[in-house]
Amino acid sequence: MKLFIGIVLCMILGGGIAINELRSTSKSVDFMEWNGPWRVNPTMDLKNNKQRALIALVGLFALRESEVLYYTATVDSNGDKLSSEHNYKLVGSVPEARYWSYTIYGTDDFLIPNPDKTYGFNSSTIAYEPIDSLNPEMSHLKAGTYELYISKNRQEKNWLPSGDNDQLSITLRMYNPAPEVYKNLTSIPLPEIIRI
Amino acid sequence: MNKKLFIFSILVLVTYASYKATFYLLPNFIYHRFYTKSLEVPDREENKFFMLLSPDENARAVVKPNPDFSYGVAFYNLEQGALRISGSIPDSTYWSIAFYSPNTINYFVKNDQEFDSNTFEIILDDENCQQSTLPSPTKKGFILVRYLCKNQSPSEIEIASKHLNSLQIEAYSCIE
Repeated sequence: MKLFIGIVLCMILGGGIAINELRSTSKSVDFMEWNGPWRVNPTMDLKNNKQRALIALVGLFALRESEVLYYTATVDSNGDKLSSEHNYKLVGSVPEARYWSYTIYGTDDFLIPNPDKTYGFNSSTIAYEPIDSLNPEMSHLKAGTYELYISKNRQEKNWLPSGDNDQLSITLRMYNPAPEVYKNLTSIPLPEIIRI
Repeated sequence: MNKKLFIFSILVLVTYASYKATFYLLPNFIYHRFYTKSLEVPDREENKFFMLLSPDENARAVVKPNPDFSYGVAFYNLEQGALRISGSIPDSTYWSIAFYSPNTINYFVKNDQEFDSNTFEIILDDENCQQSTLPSPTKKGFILVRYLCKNQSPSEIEIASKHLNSLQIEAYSCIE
């Protein structure tokens, strides 16, 4: 009887360790690559059970990397966890992809309730920084840069409401990225996430 | 002493096996929970598409939804034979159809730019149907059609709804 109870407890322990490992950001990223505060799965290696479990847990029904790249940030550029206790600013340029978007998620990995129903921005909805086309120093810019603001409180533009969440995450989705992106996953220009 | 060591070894082995098994079984468990909850909703059944338009904070079925997309969703079942999946494809926005097995592996995806026309037809089968255009690794699985509504405007969502409404799953008779 004691042995049976011991076996059951060990089964629970083994499962608990596995779930905890998947939940713990620092322990579950051994197959991911970093680009500043962003991490990305270079390959959706389907034979890796741990990776498949992680994807099912935090990104069920994700597409394979040939179709979409998912960059995720749960820390700011200083390595501190993203939390709605703080305000953040992201300054970025247009990612090289057919369609791209930034979406913010709460501690529970779901969209954050807010009166504007703003959960993210994409190439169509984001407000770009104005570019003075008459200024020759700016004429080389194909498209403007943009600033995103993560805050509990309303911001003038590109406001991602952070609600009341101990842990935030931001996902940058790049659908049909340019071939150069795949070659430079860890070095393509991605926004810094600056606490303000 | 030897007996204690033997029991300790057994317990360590069980712990390790459970640890590994959790990674292997978790995707199936999560999928099954999603399958059960999804089909609890009236009028939803296997081999029939349903729509999820513009997810917001109330969309709690799948973690990390993309609010820019409207979705056509279906659970397929090949136990009665092959299936013909068809529908229309938009010409001015991102659209894709993806197939998943119950262990959540995305074994097939094709987007609007990879189809030659504005309609599609896929013959799905897990056996030896000669007309099959897509072999399924399992009897059951999941289809997810993504339709991009970049601005989330009512007119955009209405058009998305029309396209997603065109999605059909029918029984297909394979010719030997």
